[in-house]
Amino acid sequence: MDRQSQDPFDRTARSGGTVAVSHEEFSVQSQTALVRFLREGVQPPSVVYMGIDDQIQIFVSEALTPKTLNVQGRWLRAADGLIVPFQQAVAPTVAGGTALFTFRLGEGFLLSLTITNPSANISESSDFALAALSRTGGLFGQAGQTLCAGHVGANKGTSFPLGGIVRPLDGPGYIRSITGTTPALGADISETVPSGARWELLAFQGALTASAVVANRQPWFVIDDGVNLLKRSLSTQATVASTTSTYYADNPGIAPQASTQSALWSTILPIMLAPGFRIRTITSAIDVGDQWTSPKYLVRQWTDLE
Amino acid sequence: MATYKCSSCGGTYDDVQRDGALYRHVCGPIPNPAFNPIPGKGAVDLRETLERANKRDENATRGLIYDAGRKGYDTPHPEDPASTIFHPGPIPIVSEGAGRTAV
Repeated sequence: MDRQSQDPFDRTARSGGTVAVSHEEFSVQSQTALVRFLREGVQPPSVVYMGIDDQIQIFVSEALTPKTLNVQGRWLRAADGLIVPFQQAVAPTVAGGTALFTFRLGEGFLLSLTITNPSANISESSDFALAALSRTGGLFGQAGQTLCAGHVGANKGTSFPLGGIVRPLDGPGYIRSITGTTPALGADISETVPSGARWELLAFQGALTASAVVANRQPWFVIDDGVNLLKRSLSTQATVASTTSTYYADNPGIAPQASTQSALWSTILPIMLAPGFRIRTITSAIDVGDQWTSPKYLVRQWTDLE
Repeated sequence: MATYKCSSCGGTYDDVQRDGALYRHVCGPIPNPAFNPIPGKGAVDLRETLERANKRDENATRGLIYDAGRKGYDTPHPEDPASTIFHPGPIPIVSEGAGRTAV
C-alpha cells in the first residue's frame, strides 16, 4: 500500500506507537479551499479586451484655460503576454467646449487607466474627463464601453477600473467670481449662461451712473431663459440724475443699507440657470447717457460634455 | 488676457476671467421701439426689448467636438449621415455679429 492510499484512520496502521483515532471519533473542523489558483495559463483580471481595431477615446471638457492632461495605464499585450505601461499627453487646446483625443494600444487586455491633471491650483471640479473604448472611431462613432469618467483637478483624476463613472453635473461644482460685460451707454446689463455650463447664481451686483437728465431710473433684476421671463425684482430705490447707485441682488429680509448709493433687488438666491438663460437689468426711464458698470457676480458652475 | 469692444452692441469685456476661464460675450437685447407700455402698470415686460439683429454670440457651436489629434472638428455629412466632413481649425462661435476690436 502506497502512502497515497493509506487510510490514516485505520487502527491497524501503526506509526511510531501512535494509534490513529477512529474516523467515527474525529471530525474535521476546517476544510480546504474550494478555489484553486493556476500558476500557469493565468487569465487576465480585466474584462476589457481590446481588438486591433479598438481605440481609446478621451473626452475632455475644460471650463478654464486649456491644459494638458495625463493618461497613464497598463495593458497586457496579447502578442507576448507582457504588461506594458503607456502614457499619453492630452492637450485639448480648446476651452469651453468638448475635445476628443484618440489613441490605440493594440490587441490585449486593458489593466488600468488613469486620467490626471498635473496643473496646480486648479479647482477639483472645473475640468471633466471621460475615457471610452470605441470600435468605429470618429467623433460620431459609438462608444463600446465607458471606462471611467470624473472630474480631474490638481493631481486628482479618474481611473479604470476602480474610479467609477461620475456624470459631469455631479459633485459640488466650482465657485467662480465673474466680471461681465460693461454695456454701452444707455444699455442694460445682459449676461448669458454659456453653452455647456450650469450655473447656480449666488450673488449679483452692478452700479448705475445716471446722466444729468432728470428722471428716476428704477432698474428691474430679471432672469429669463432667452425668451420667457422667469424671475423679476424691482429695486428698492431709484437712481436720480447725476448720481451713482450700486444694486445688489439679495434675499428678502435683508435690510437695505441706509444709503442713496446702495439699493437692493429682493430676490431668492441661489437660483439654478441652464445654458442660454440670462441675468439682466431692465431700467425704466434709462437715458442714453446712463452707464451701467460691468456686473460682478458669484456662481457655482458645472461644466457638461456637449 | 485682452479687453475687447463688441462692434455689435458696444459692450466691453475681458476675454479671460481672473480664474483663467474664457468669458464668452453674448450681446444683450435692445429696446423695442414698437412697445407701448401701459401707463401706470409698473411691471417689467419682456416685450420692452427684442433681440439685436446682428447679435454676437461667442459660445462655441453646440454639438461639435474638437478633435485634438487632427486639430479640427467633424460635422455630419449632409447627404450621407453615416460619414462626416472634417473641418480644420477651432470650433466656430455661434455668431460673429459685427466682430470685435481690441481696446
